[in-house]
Amino acid sequence: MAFPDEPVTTEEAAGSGGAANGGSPNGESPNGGSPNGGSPNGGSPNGAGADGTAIPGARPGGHAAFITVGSALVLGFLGVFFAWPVAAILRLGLSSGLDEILTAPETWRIVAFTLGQAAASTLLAIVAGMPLAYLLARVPVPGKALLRALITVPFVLPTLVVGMAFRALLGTAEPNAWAIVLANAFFNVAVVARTVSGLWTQLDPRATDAARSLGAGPLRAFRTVTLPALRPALWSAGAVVFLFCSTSFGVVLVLGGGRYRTLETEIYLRTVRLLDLSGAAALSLLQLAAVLAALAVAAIARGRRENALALRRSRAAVRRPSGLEWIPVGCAVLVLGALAAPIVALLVRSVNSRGGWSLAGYRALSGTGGVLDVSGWQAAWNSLRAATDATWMSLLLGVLACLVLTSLRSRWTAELMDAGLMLPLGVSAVTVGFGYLVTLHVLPGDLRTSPLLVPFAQALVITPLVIRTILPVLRSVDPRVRAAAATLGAGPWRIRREVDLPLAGRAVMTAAGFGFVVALGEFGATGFLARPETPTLPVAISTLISRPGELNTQMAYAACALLMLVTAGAVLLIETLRSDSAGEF
Amino acid sequence: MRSVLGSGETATAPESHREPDDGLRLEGLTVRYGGTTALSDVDLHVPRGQVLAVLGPSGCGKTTLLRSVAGLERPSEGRIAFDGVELSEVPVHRRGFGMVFQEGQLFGHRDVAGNVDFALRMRSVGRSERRDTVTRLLELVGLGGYQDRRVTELSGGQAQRVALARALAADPRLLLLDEPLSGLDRRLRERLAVDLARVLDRNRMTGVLVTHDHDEAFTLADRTAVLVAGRIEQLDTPWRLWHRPATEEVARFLGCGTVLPGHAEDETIRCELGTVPRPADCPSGTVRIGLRAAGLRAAPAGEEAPIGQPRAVVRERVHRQDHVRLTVTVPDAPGLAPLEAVTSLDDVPHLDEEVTLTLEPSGTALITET
Repeated sequence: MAFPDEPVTTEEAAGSGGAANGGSPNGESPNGGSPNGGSPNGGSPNGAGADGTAIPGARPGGHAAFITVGSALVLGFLGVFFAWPVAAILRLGLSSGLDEILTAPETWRIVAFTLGQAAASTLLAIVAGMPLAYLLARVPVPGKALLRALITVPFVLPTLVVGMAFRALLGTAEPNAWAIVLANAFFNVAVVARTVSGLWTQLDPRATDAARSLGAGPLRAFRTVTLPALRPALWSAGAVVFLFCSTSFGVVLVLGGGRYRTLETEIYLRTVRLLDLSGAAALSLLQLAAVLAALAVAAIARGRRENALALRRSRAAVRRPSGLEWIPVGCAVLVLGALAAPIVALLVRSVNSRGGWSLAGYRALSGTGGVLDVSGWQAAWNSLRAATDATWMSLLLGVLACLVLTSLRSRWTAELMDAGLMLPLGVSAVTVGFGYLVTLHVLPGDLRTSPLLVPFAQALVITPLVIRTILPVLRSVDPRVRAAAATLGAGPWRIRREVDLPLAGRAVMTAAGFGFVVALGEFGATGFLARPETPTLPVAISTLISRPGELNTQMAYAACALLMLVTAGAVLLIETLRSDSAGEF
Repeated sequence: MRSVLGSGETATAPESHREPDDGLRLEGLTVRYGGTTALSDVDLHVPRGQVLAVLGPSGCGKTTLLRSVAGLERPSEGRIAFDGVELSEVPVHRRGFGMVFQEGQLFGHRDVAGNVDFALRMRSVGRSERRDTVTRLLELVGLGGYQDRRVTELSGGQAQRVALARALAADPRLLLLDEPLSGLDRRLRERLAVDLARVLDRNRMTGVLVTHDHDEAFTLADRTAVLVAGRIEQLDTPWRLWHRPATEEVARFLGCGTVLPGHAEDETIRCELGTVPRPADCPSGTVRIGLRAAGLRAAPAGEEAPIGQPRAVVRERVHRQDHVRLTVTVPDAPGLAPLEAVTSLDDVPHLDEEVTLTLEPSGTALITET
């Protein structure tokens, strides 16, 4: 279930989570002289040979029991609500037809298009994201927190909304491959900008100064000093963006119009329209393999990142551009304009149809007639409720998983479990949703009709995001700070409560906020599981799109605008809260 | 250093050390990481009320030693006991040892008072008592009134003072200091060392300090152990370490740039560069003499220089605060590496000028073990 609207690895790739976005979560170094805070990965020689495991030497039996029980809970949830449904679908499908799919030229055309559009989108996102990263990291912009929040908005917009926004921008519903590339890049510019600026902010600007003093021009200094230093972030962001783009669903569905198909939409079409389960399962396997490869690349890039250069935050790094430095600033302004265009187009289209300006779409949303069983407001309310439930579930699961992951002594076990928890990212949400329908009736209590079914699925989608947001912060806590707490008489539990949780507190808030927003826009699994009488807003939108009629289209645009406003509002709120509290440290 | 009683008794630690005030005792402590041995068969005893410094070059294993005592590192062999109680099964937070870390490791999410208060809360001390204790401890370390400061606003020296107050708040049975002053500049380091010594002394603390700075060790500790490559080379008083290093490694670590063979007989010890008076504790026969820069005094070689006094040629010279330091070579002794010598600021010889060398007994160390 990989939609481009999952802000998953941004935080992760941005190094120490919140550090990239206003305020290092574990504070600056207490040594006033050398503020190397915010880069706890950078230099933390933790004594002779201590390997950075969580709380060396301080593991009484109770803690070991916690690890066992915690692992069991986390893996149990993952097993029942992810592995089992997916395995069931795969078994269902693999009973026949794998060779048939793999030998069909059509399959490889789809694979080629999937990878090709993903590569093009990734490249475009990087090219467009770099000037923004420069702007965020090195240029004094008034209201930078707001700017960063605005850049983040496209990233969390529901895929359907973005698809519709580009349709509004193009003014036509004709399938368009370039629109797919543009839309995917539109989503992911934020990933590049935030990931790269996160590292860029922490790069010691004196390395560039040194290069300049040795005779390098600004371009050459960038190419030979800054760019190599940013490479881990670029790799990391690139891998993640590629992953998102290659599993892009809503956008391709809306803009591809059946002519341009990726593996993800093909799985959906085969499952839903053609009931060709074996074909869908075979394609799922193919996709899973591709996704695992992308995750592996991202993990390697991350690994490199963790033993990155000596980083330091410095105010001196932010300075007014001069001369050639205005060029990237100009580019950044252009990119910002390009990001705003589809959003504006969508808003305009929602109040403007062929018949001229009108609020007909919004008015129709308030009524209950037409193709929807419930009013638009009711659908919005359903969305909010489901997203709230999904958020607390994923927080419980995610925080528990993070605590377990940072307690595990064996690095390999931790890595393996970490990777397992990321797997839901790599599997088509459609597969999971369908798997629920096939398997969950076996469980006691009919989950399939439970109002918690949709939140369960959404929680599964956003838990990787929660983990990726909190885990890097917990991992970046200098083990010697925990050691200090232990020597002062704090037991393992006390250290968790008094040191880890306060330091990760903001990351938990961020995770909750982003998780909520993503759950709000989730469509792949929700579309499968939501009951007709309780649709969420994205489900309502997809119903409206699929029906003919100008009023339905107008309602779809209005609903999209509504969803976008809620999402954007939530993101702006999270980001503002975050930068407000940044001064705390 | 354990006394050798008999052939069988040295191998196992006698159980008779169970007196309540025994203090810290390490026996045969060995720590290995994979194939490398960080600490090898270390025996140490720190009686209550005493401070022991562990001095050594970086990478010698001294931080590992401290972390093992704190319980942050699991020894591969050997035992650690306090007041006769074996500690291998006691987790860090129950040992009652305070630790001051190299860079403070203050809690960035708490203010100064919150940092000091932490240890008190761990011990469930009441609120008003906590406030009073925090005030008292901050005053003790010279930071009265700093309660509400953020730790990120502190200078390096202030942060270390807070770290000390925080460690003392735990009312530790034993205070462990991991290069507490090494991150500070020289002047601050000297001042804080004196303050720290006063705090330790006034509270009759039992402590272990690790450092690579011998001034720090001699200022703060009653006795000093020199650790080289994971082994204790010598455990002694500052005077003995300085003047009677047990091995050539210790002598070199403590500033002896040159070690010359010598021969002790009657009233003097004779070496290639002259003679020094023979101290009462020096056995006759072959010894080694360690030379610090101050152990060789150079003077311009006038016409009337006594015959037999070694002559040397100035190769480099550097002005120091109250003397000039020279690097000289001795043409008559081509086997001898370039030597460091001092001369007064008043009569500085030129480069390549010939000088005479005189041994200055206060700048020499005697290695009597062979």
